[in-house]
Amino acid sequence: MSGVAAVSIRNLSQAYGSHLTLKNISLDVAPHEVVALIGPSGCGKSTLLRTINLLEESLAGEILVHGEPVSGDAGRGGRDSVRRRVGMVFQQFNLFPHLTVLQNITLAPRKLGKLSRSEADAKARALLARFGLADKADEYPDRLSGGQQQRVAILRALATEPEVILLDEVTSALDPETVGEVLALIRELRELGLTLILATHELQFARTIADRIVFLSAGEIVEQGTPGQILDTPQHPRTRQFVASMIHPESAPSAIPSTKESIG
Amino acid sequence: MSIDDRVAPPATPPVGRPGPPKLSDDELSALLIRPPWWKRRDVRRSSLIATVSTVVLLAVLSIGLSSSAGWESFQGAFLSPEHFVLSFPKVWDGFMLNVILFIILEPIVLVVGLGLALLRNLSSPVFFPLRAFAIGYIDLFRGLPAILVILMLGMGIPALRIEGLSSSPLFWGAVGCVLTSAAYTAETYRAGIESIHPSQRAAARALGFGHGRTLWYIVLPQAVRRVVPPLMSGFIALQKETALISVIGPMEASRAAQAYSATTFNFTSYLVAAVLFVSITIPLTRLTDHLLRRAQLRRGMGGAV
Ligand SMILES: Nc1ncnc2c1ncn2[C@@H]1O[C@H](COP(=O)(O)OP(=O)(O)OP(=O)(O)O)[C@@H](O)[C@H]1O
Ligand SMILES: [Mg+2]
Repeated sequence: MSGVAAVSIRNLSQAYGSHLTLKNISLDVAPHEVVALIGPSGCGKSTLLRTINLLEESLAGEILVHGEPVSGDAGRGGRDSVRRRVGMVFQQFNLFPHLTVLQNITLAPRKLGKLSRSEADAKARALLARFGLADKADEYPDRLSGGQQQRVAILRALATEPEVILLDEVTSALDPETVGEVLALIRELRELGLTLILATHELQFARTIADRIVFLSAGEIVEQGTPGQILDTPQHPRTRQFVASMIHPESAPSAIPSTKESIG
Repeated sequence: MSIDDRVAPPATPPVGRPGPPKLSDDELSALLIRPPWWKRRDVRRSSLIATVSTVVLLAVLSIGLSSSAGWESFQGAFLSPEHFVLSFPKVWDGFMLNVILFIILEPIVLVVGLGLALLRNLSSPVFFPLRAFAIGYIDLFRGLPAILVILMLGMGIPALRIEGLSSSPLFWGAVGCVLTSAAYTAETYRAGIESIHPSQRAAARALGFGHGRTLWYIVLPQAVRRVVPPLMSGFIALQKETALISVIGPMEASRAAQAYSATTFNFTSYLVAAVLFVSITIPLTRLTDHLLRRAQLRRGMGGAV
């Protein structure tokens, strides 16, 4: 890794009330790197992404974006400016239902990026055209398929020109036949040179897109490495168990008590 | 046992029973064009039944009423066509005051109510006093009968004779109406604001919008759309509440009706006032229902949160 990390997390801990969800997470993500977070349901993938984007308060530790601390006491204005550099895409799309596709994409650039309406519209239409959604610009989100909605949500994040995009299981609310179009768009993000941190259950997709896979279990990083290392030759027993259960769900060792795990 | 064994054999239709025929495209599109309701036999049948049963019920009611002992004098005192015509101009003039009040007050109520709802929604501890004020205000004015507020303001403040403050009972009565309605309206807005799923805020915050802009661009537009029907109910309530101002003097419709009956000893003028109010409130109610139904339809279609 050369130069400053795009995102640097140091001993980050987080809790919902008295329920500890992240324990001393440390992770450096290089510019243009694609990192996939995998792990059992409830292990803290979403929480980690939300905490990086300051949607959740952290308990301890720090987060640096391009070397600038953003966690803890970075004041309100500081938080909002961090969020502008870090885009986020959610599992449930979270498009704004009262705005058209075009307005969803242009709202932030117009109100925060200070683009004029016509500039923002032109850029958004170019983005939509480039990703095959030109004819949807003036539709409302509820007239779009799930895959189209999620692609619009990704473009909405992209339109703010972030350096890092966090993607939280962006395909798990989709029908199998529309997953492909969203994954293709994520590949394009990679080609654009964006730094991506994505939580996913799609191990095969993680293998092909990620530079590095991080395996989380019960709020801790258990193991990380190249896709080959983690998926083919996992070292830690919990990683082995998880990967085996994901690849052959029916022959999963019964040692895994349930799909939901939590920190004791 | 292979999977195929468990699949039921393809079903064959029962013999000797010709099913419905296969329809051509033309036949199908002919079915799609619904005839207007007055040409549809089922609709005509049900409207006939409804008409007959209504007529029968009204006949029974009117026979029952008109055969009652006091019917003659009641008819004279409350339903006199002559007094209806005579009192109409005066009550109509009064009613114009109700309408003007309503038209002026409703926008003020909408704005004050929104302001209160926003104050109540402030989360930062810095704003605690404002929040506490909004909560106290809303509790107080929702708890007080509107007529008391109007009486106290309309009688009390002019009596104080403070320089620079209006001493018109009409003005202060109107203020009383606004204060009361705004408290209810604020609660309506708040229900709307709270009904917006937190993920909408999260999405806006993730794009870099602060609290205020998230509220303004994302939460409020959706919240207000959701509460249009209850806001309309508030309109109707306010329209009726303007009649309460009569208790402190101004000649609005019900007061004019009362004045007429006091001099003529005939109460038909009240009927005039009632007819005038209802001629506005019932169409408003229908409109509200219509909007509500449309909002529900839309929500049913667009499940997006
Ligand atoms: N808003 C919340 N309030 C309280 N507890 C929460 C909240 N959100 C998540 N949790 C808890 O935090 C833990 C981590 O949840 P998180 O959503 O980060 O897991 P995840 O790895 O994203 O799981 P999944 O794969 O199911 O999305 C879980 O035990 C969960 O129950
Ligand atoms: Mg999750």
